[in-house]
Amino acid sequence: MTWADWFDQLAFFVVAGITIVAAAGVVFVPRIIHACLCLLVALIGIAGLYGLMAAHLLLAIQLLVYAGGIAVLILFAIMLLHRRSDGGILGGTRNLIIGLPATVIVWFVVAAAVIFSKWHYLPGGGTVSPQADSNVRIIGELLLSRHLLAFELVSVVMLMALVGAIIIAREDRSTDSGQQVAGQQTGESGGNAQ
Amino acid sequence: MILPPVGLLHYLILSVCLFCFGLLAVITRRHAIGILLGIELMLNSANINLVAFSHFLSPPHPVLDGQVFALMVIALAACEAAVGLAIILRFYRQTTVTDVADAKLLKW
Amino acid sequence: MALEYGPVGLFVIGGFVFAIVALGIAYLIRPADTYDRKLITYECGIVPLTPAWHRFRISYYIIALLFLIFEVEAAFLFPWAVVLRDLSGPQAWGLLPLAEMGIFLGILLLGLVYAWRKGDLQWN
Repeated sequence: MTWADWFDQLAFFVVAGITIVAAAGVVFVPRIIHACLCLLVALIGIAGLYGLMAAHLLLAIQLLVYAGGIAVLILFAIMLLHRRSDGGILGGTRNLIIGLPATVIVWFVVAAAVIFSKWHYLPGGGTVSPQADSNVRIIGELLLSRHLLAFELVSVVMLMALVGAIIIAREDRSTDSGQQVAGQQTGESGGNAQ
Repeated sequence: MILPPVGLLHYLILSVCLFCFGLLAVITRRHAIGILLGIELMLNSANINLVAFSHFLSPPHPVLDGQVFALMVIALAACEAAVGLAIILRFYRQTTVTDVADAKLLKW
Repeated sequence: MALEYGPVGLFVIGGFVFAIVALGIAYLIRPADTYDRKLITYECGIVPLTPAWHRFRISYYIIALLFLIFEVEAAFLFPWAVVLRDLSGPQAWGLLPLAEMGIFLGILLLGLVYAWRKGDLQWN
């Protein structure tokens, strides 16, 4: 076992340990904002795992989109939700007595399925693939040729999510006259697209 | 210290653990955003699976379809978080409730 | 494999060490006489009137939402930009990547146009 192999193992177990502990924090930490920060740590750990699997582009995008975008958006939403006068922050868990055994059972079933599967029937036979330096180029070519339809459909889905989320989240302008914009249609109620 | 080299199985077991923590968060968290956090965790465990299969099970020349899928999943997770949070904010504004058990207007 | 990230690891460790050393030295040498007025939130020297935890306006969320969607779009631009350099290579794709990304961006721009026209970017 060479020095580099040993270092690979050490890196995997350190990063995996951080990720697992942070993921446990997402479940068990009482305060929701701390749970969100735990999720942030877990997402950064997963970015590290991508790095260990030579997915450099995904590492960057995981940090950019997940850690820099989604986690921050969730933190934002938590700050938008609560007022002091509401009597504190709702935190904690319920149904842990039922949920924990059920989840442990799921873990054993899936883990057994993973361990006893015959991976060597698959092409490659569980060996490590040679590393490509041109990861990003290959992904770009796949994205623009074989997965072109999915690529374009993602933009449609994102458009729908954007418009839908704006319609759902927006303040009612009909009830709040201070929010009215000149030349704007009013009378929009609830989540109706016009 | 003789351990087997880090392979596909390591990543899959790790991904199962993350998935189960996400599932547990979805089942047990009281706050609606906690459930969303669990869903993000589950999506990430699926992403680890995709990247791990793409890394460890490709023929001699690299096949990176798994990473492309992971990219799509990340984009869809962003959409899901945006719409989910919008629904939670909207619901909070109308009812000042963030506990999912209190959202029982449509409950039979 | 992990050794390739050695410089990154050194950078992270260096960052932590720097923060710990700087804060630790400051902790050791600073005078420690705190009283209540010193511990209130610092707001440019003005005495804060209310707790910081207001309920913020929903417009902040809509701006953050737009940011997130267009950040994902930027994430898709990276692999595309690498392929775009092959325009004049041996496997020339011509202007196809440009058109494909044009459709992608065009669809998403509709969302921005919608938010703009509906006045969600207005700040009043």
